[in-house]
Amino acid sequence: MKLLFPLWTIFILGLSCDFVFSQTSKVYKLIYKDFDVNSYDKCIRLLNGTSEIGCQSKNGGNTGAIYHINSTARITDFLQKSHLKNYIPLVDVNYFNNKLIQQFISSGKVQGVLVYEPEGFVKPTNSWSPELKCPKERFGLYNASYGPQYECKPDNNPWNPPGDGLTEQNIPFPIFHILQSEAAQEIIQCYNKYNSKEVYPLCSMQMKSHMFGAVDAPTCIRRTTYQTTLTPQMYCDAMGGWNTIASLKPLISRKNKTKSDSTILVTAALDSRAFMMLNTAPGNSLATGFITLLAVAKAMGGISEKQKSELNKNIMFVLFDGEAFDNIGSTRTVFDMQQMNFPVVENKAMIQPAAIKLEDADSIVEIGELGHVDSQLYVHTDPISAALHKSRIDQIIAEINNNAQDINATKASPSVGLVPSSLQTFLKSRNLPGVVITDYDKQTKNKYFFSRYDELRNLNINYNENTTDEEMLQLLQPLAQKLSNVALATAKMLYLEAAATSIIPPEISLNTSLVTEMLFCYLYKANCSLFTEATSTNSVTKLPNFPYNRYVTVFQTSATGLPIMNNWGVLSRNLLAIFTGKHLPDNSTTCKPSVSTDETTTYFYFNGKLNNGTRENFCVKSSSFVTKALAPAIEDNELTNNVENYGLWAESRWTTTTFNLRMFLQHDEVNQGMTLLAGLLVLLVSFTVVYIVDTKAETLFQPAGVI
Amino acid sequence: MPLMVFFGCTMIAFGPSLAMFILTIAKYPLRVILLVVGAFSWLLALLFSALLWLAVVPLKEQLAFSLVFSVIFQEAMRYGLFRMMKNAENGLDDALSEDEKKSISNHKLSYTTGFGFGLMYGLFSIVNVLSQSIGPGSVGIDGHSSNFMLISAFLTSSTILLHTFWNVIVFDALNKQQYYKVITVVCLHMLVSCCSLLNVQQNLAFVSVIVSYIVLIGTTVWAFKAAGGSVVNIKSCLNR
Repeated sequence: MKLLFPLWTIFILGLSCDFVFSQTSKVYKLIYKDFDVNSYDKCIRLLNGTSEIGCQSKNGGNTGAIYHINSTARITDFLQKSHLKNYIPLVDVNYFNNKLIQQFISSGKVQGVLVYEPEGFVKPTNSWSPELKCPKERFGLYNASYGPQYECKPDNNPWNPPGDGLTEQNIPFPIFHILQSEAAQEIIQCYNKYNSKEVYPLCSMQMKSHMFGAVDAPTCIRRTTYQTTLTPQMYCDAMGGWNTIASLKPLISRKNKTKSDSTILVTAALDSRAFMMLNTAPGNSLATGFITLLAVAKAMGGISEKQKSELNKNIMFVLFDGEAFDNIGSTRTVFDMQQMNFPVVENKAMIQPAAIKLEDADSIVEIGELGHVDSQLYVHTDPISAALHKSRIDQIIAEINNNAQDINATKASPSVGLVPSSLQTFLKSRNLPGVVITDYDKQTKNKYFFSRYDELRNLNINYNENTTDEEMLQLLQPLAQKLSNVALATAKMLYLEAAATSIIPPEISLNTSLVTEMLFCYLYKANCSLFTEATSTNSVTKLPNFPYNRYVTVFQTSATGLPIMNNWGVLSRNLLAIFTGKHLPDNSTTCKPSVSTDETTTYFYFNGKLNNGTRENFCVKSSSFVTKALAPAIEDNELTNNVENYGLWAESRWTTTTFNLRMFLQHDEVNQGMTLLAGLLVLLVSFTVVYIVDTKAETLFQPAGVI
Repeated sequence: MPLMVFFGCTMIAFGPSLAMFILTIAKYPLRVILLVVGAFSWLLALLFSALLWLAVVPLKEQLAFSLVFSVIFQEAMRYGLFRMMKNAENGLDDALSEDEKKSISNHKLSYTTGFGFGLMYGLFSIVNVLSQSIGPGSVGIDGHSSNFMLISAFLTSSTILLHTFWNVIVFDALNKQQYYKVITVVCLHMLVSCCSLLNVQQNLAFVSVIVSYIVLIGTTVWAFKAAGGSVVNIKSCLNR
């Protein structure tokens, strides 16, 4: 019994401690209403070569009383008449823009912003883009010394008129976008019940989104890389992805062919961006560019091996990743070409194709936004460099027009320079004949450029939660038809450019339903038959029932240096390989290169179509490559604050418990002060009473007659 | 100051206890030991209540059920404590010096063990609430009483004192075999505990505080009498 005594105490004390400090305790639930971390979209901290953008909260969270803003009158009321010190406004998304945020910042009483979509919301009433009016100007082609007259000017017909630059702001408080309307209604009800007269107790919220990255990308990456403590703390990760390349002509070893063919590069951007990217970066209008490129690849891939070998020039399809962030992908590609690392990183031990240098690039055809294309197609060039290639460019436009159906291509207005594109990056290094094909002339037709609302409704495809898959395919058909026309005309033009003959083979053809399917898979639901067929047999990723979010995120590579691509990047590479490569009758064991050091071709083994319950697996051999889309500066380890850090972007790190949103009532300071006072009083009184009783205890507790 | 509510509630809840501990218990090592013995026996009562709550799965949400049995267990442990002290009396008589015996003579023993009993109860009842009072929010968003923290603190304070005084009464009654007093104490305990069930409700929260303090005043007078005090003693004290 003597020994067990202390053991018992420790055991029970230990058992009891657990119940006392739990976060989900009953008392916690009496005070706070937590919002699930997946029910809202968050604004995060991004860093580029010179500054930090995005949002940041204090380490312990930002607290403020709720203020409901759903009209311009309420905005004025808030800025002028509200008198508390800390607010968290709940803003109707129709009134949410950079101007409002700047007003909030200068008012000094805003601790955070919540954005919600009102009942019955389908899309914003006004066009709005959080991107700058003149995006990607920082490392663009035009500056004071080259074509200053073509520089985009925000106040004079800018490229992106609805843009207000919110994405590039450094915002000192957190911003969340509430995704579920029930949650937003709860907050509004709490506001109506308690806050309408600004009398305590007030309904308040606390937002937590503490980000570790700070200052700018070179500083943050340097701090992350050079750790001096035993428990390293990672602050940020470099952003980037992987470019996908596929060659129409099969490439052979450089031992047999020392110099690469003159190559036409057909390019498009894969990724997209939004103000709050973690949940949604749809970029549907932007996706039409690379989907059309895939259609061109399909149309051209139909020619026979003999016809491919007879081409004078090679055609390479390139999908750039990370273009939304100062052209990370194309910048890295130009750098790789200059370092002889394109399309594979030079390795003398492997069998590799001859490196393609910038001098080997014959011309560039870039496919830009085509989401709002009708019958008019616009071909953009850089007027300064294109002056040297006038006949070539005119020839390209003529070839498109001669072979186009329901589409007419015309040169864009000469008063406007080259639009923001990957071509600008190439032209900075070498004067090549290059064109960008888009659906707009001087200004983008995309009313929600780089916004969460650049989704299907922005392409005039109106659906609701009851739309079935078949109905959706029907709705996508008209756009698919237009993109098909563009793709077919472009494919025929490319053949004429690359081949020796002027007779277009009938194999260059396109089935519109493929384009419809691609639109469906990329923009509506990734769990579709095309994606399932184009997945490797040894892949375990499950296709989701929503479209992939094409934000490039952080650069990932395996421990051995193998690429780790986003799911949509993998599928795009697979589709490109299927369209341009050679289908072989091999089975899964023989579907591999004969020599393991052969890097000129890649073998894939795909699921294939579903036929009576079984999958018809098939093998594809393609000259398909994957290259890094990462700022060269990171590998140079030359991270200075030099503004020459092209494509250097980093995403701040955070912990799993970083994001938190909760609602509660707040009492005023007077009330709290009274509690403290009461406590002090009780303490004083009790000490006095106990002291008195203690000193007089002998007399007080003496029973009458007993000593 | 951000922690006003926290400090205020802590001082309200543990103010009297702190005073009692520093002034009456801390100087006497034997009393400290008895304090821990009293605390431990309350913990045992908590253990049994918790085991019961764990075992009876369908009634887990019904606080009233666990509460009633918890009161019964606590009173049972109080009796167990009495029995243990009684059995230990002879041994203590031999082992202790004169000074030490004097420090725990008569009602000082029951006072100390009762104080330990109540202190441990107080800790468990309020620490959870205090840890939440550090955050920015206060109770009320779901319609509960907005004075929850304050009421919890006052209730804890009064219940610690109640446990102390009930112990004095019960030990005295058991020594004199006046069992009706013991039963009254158990009933009062049950009354105060059941009234605390009204704590979370918006309009009825103050009822438990009122009942608790009325019972406290009555118990104080009763314990005072049981420990040997009387009106005569007070008068002679004031005359000095």
